[in-house]
Amino acid sequence: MQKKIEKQQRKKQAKNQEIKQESILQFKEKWENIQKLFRNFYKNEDTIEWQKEDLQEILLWTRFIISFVLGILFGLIPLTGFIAIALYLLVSVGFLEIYCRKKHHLDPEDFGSAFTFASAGLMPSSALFLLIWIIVYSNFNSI
Amino acid sequence: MLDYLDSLWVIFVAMIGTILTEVINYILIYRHDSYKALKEKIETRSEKLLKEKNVRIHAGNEKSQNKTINILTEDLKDLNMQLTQKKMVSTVATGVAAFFLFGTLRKSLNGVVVGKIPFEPFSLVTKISHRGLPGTDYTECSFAFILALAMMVLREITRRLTGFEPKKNEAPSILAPPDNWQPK
Repeated sequence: MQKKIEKQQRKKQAKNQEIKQESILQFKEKWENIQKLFRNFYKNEDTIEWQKEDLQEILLWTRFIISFVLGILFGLIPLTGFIAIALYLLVSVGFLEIYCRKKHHLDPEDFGSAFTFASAGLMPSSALFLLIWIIVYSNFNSI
Repeated sequence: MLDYLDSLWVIFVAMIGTILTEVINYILIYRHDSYKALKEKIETRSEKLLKEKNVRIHAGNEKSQNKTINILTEDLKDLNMQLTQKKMVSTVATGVAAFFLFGTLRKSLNGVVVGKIPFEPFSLVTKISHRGLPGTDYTECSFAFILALAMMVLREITRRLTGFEPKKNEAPSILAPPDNWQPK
């Protein structure tokens, strides 16, 4: 009976270890995939066939970086009002739209609709921009 | 006088909430073999659909291609419906977790100005951003707005990094009609 319990416990431990290793591996794979996407999008000169999900992923992460940087910048300057939001949208939406069309010769209609590039990750990245902008502005500039 | 620690505390709580949500989702949904099988099916079907749609553009045999695309689209809709049903329990559980988090913050930060919004927000936004705050200075921000923004961002980041959600390259909405549907 004791041996049976010990065997079951060992099995459970082995399974937990397997799940832990699988999740670490999955996370590593995911991280490497993001790095590969960045390399292909920004450094690679060859023509690549992009899948919608990969393109949306790279656009999302780029928008996160833009939002973070612009949030800190606008909070420190300080740049206030809707002009800051307009500038943010111009950079976040405009720059990536032009980059995708000119550098990679991609047409957003091929990936669903005319707003595929503009809308990819726009909501969460706008939320990040607002969050960083509010926190930096509140703590460095307001009384 | 604004205390920077308040906003950091709200973000910390949002982080805890997001991790808690993912842990609940993992325990209730993601670790089960049925979910993994469903995820694989959705990914393979959506890849097939994408290939068929690309082949359709070049080939002249539209009728049979349309039929295949419709079958795959309906299949994907059913699979997405099954996915939504699987996630229903976790949606309720995460809602309850969010409710408790909100309650925790409300005890310590109700009526406290956590931040200053650098623009005059719209009336719809002020309902959240000026929640529980006295006065009419709508540039003052309460913890609710910071919490909502932080959760939106962190949820998306966590979702992308964990990769538990299926890749849906060509997945149609469960509410969308079939491609060949015509109104009467």
